[in-house]
Amino acid sequence: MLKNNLKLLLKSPHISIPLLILLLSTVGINLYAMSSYFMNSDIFAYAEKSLWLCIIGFIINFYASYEFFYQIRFSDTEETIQSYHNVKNKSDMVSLLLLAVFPFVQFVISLFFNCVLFSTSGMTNDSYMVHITLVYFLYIFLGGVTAVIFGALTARKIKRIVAYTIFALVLFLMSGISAFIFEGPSLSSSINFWQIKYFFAYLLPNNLNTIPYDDYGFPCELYRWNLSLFWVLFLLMLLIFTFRLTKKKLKIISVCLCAAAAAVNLTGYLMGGSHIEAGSGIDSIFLSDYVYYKNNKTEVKQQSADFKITKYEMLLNISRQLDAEVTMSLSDHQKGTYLFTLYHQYAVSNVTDESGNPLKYSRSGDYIDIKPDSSISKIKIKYSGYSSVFYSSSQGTALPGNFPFYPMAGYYDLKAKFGEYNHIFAPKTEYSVTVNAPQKIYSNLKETGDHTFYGKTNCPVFAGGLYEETDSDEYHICNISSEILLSEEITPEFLDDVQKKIDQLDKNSGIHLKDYYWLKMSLTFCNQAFGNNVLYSEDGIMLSSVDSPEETAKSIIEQKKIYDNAQ
Amino acid sequence: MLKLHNCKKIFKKKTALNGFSCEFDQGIYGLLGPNGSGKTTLMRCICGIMDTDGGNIESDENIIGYLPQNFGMFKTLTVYEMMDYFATLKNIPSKTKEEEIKRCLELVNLTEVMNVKTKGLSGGMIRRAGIAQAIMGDPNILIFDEPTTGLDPEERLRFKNLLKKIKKDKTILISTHIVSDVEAICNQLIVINQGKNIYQGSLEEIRSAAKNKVYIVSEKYEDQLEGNYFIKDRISKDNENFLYVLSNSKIKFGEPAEPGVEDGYLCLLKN
Repeated sequence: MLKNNLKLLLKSPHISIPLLILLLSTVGINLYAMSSYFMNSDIFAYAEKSLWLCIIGFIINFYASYEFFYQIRFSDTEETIQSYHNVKNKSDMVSLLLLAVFPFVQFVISLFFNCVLFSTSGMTNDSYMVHITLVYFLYIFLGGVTAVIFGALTARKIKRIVAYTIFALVLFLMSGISAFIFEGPSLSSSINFWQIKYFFAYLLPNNLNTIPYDDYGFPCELYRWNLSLFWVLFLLMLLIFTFRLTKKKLKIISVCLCAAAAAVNLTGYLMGGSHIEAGSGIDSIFLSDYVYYKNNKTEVKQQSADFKITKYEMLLNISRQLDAEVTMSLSDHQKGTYLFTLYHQYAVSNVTDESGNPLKYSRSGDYIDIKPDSSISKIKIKYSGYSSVFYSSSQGTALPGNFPFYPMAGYYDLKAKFGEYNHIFAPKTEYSVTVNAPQKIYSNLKETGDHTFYGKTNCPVFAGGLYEETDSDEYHICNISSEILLSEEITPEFLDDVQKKIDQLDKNSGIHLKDYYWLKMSLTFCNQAFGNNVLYSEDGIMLSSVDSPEETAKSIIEQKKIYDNAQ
Repeated sequence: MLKLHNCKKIFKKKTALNGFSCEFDQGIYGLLGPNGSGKTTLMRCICGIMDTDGGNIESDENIIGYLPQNFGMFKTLTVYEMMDYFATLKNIPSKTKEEEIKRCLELVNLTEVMNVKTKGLSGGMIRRAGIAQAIMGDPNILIFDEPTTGLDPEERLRFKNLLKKIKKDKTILISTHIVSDVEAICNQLIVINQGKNIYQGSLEEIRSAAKNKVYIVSEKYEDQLEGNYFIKDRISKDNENFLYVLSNSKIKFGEPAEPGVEDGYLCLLKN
């Protein structure tokens, strides 16, 4: 049956030629992308180019599927085949499988080129390969399969002109063009027109031109898998529904199974979670909070706290989003109300004292007021959510301590301006943190055990993603995977040079670089988080660029002074 | 053996089969009925293309050879490739597939064009290819929906000859509105009207249904015709025009004529 369908497909030039072009362009684009990699060693630029295939694939796979099933439908063979004993549906399923082979071949070809690149360029970081395999599978294979089922379904029920109009509309909603078009009206009114794209926006990458964070890679979060699987299962359910099965029980069971699995994935998608959108959508890192602060004109407050937090004990669970339990030890309290700043997207579910007694609290935007009836020594706050800029997802984590992903004492103006927040440096405090995340988490705090960190700082930072630790006897260094990072990585030699410069510039600085944990952050992250390329704390130093030892030495000395002067 | 008992099929606004019952044994059955009487629906239900909304269909056979009213093929494939496609779907073992395809193509006289793309075939050839796919696998029940429609006289004759070749030990049901075809091919007749089996019997029996009801009347008496009558034809003989009339009551000024199958069929419908 497969052979016959393949023969039919190959002998239909209006279908086989576009599919052949698709496969050839898969090879061609990968070769072109590969050559550009060898010119500038930018692995993401390579992957970005090869990912254009998912868009081409989506269009051609839909076309091929529609035309193939349309040909069967209008060949006047349907009635004849239906008269054969139970083979019509089998034949359709075989055709569907045959057409699904093409996105799979596209996926395999693209992966093959990545493997070649991986092995020939001496890459060692497996996490990149895992990441790119998942990304290709999600966008090239699952995207292609969605198009194939969509094509098959529409060919069975809808006329050509209507089917292609629907497809063009879906493609428009999936594309970054619609995000761009909806941006203006959404910004100038209180209506979020982007919601029209809600069920289509993440089937393919929205914007392939911008990789926001080197340590994050391409967006491939759980909710995107949920959306893709939802569409695959939902369309499959509709397709099976159109089948005429003599075994009605089988049809009911198949439809129910698909419907249940689609519902699970839809629920997963509706649950959402932390994501990172680089496009021009209202949900993007650039606009999401800008729009929030524009539309929710909450009073901007700036008031220092009349109490001190002497210690933070944090339990940070990161999966779809951040689920946190933060216990703060308090001192020096004078008034009845404790004021905190916590980013508005983190929804507070529970506030208790040291004994677990609930405390009265009120929330307004980024601000929380807690009014205990009696004196307390600790406050525990449970909350969950995510920021569009500082993500915490199954794919990566970027939580800088000068962004209130944890309650900060006092009121701060956090107002966002196109993807950037005001940088808040809280007083130096003791932190004991447990982080449970799907990826390994790195921090400027000292790692004291599995998932646990401890130390004193005015800015605890937690990062996870495409990192790898550099082997060195003298230094503790963690870089963004060297294969991914275009700029230089932190090396022991570089740090030796920096140490020399520090000793030359300030003999009494007391800075011994071997005592610190070194973390190389992406430039975007550092700019957005700290507005500086160096973040100093007692246990760890974060750098975003390693171009000049002298400039780095100056920045470290300067940042240390600021740190030492912090309360 | 094929048995239909009280079969019903209802579309949104129309009852296509209204308690149709019938038994088929070996032989060639002609299914006659006016347009929209339920012939095609009945055949589709027998072949399993449609489910009935009531009643049941019993058959000893799993495979039924079926030629639909609108039979078509993929234009990009050759006749042989198309037959191969059908043979695979019919689960004909690969060892015997080639032999079977050639046998069927030979029966319908298409061996010469088996390597020609189907888009190059005439309408008659496509019908014959349709018959070839229906008889492939040698099914014991064959159902042909309007098999001679669009065929020229030579092709129709060829079809009749083909049926003679394959009819042995088989149940063949042919739906048609061409009564002469039925007379030439079938030995049993079923008349369907408004989804009901209104008659089943031999050709002789249906002729007898019109016995003493057929008259040849001179045209000049046309105004004097009375009661329940139907002018089937107008004929000329010796420079005089005559009417071929079916009537339930005796026509005094008419000459009784020998009834044909069509007369019997019309009498059944008109009554």
